[in-house]
Amino acid sequence: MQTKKMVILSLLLGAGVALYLLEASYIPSLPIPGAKLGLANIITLILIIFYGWRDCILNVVARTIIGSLITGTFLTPAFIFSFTGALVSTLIMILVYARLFGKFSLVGVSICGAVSHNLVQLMLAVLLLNHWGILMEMPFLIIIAIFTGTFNGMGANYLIRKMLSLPKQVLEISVGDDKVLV
Amino acid sequence: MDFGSLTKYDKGLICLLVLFALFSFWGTFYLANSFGKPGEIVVSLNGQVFGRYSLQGKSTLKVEGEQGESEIEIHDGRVRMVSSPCLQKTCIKSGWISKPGSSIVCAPNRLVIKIIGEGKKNSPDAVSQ
Repeated sequence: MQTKKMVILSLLLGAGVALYLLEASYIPSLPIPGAKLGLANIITLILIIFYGWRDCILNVVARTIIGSLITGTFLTPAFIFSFTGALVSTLIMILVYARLFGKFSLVGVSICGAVSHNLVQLMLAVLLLNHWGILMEMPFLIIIAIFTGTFNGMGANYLIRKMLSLPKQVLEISVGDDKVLV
Repeated sequence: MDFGSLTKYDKGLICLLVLFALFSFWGTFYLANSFGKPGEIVVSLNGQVFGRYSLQGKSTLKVEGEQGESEIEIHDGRVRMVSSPCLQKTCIKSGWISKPGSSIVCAPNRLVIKIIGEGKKNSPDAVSQ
């Protein structure tokens, strides 16, 4: 892998971990316990657009593992929910972006990712904790996911617009060479 | 590349998700209240067991008490006193009961209807008003 690309990807990984840690600080950003803004998904979206899906998945997996190592939740049940949710939601975002982008805007992709992330975590929680009562959270999680997904999508939109208006030399550095999907 | 604002498919997706959320909201309440085996009632006359009847389905029961004949109606897990020869009709005014442990008493007629068994799960033990 080229050095330039590795540096950029590392920076994006660092940004993702920083955003993840920001939201893990137990300051509730949303009224429902356990609901986060998921700002790290903005990084995921940018990776999907400017880099290939392989880099994106690598980034998401690394971000979740490193983030959980730092917050001390590695291999706890919460980590399992978080990791699987992140992985599945990333895969779904990649699929939606690759196949259906013409119809869905970036916000749509982001909403798909957010909703699937929450639902996967919910179903895993029901399975692992063996208590159907957890399902009662589903409607709230879906509604919240719509809002956070929209917010993240708009954030990614704004970021991309700013990135594209950078001077050309800087842009060549930051935009990936193997734009497999776009 | 223009990533633009919401397309109409986006809005459709959001509407679909909202509908799904509302549906699951209703669904979880419905499911939570419909689990559990239907209980039984024990009807006692003058302190002695007159009979046990299942709360499933629909049926009516006529019991001859101290003062006269009382009619009891069972309907899908609930039971009530329909008619009674007592003066105050408190037993009829109690309306439907469905929770295990609750009972309807007609003192003048010496009649007690008590619900036993598991009944519905996940319903509150008591509601203050």
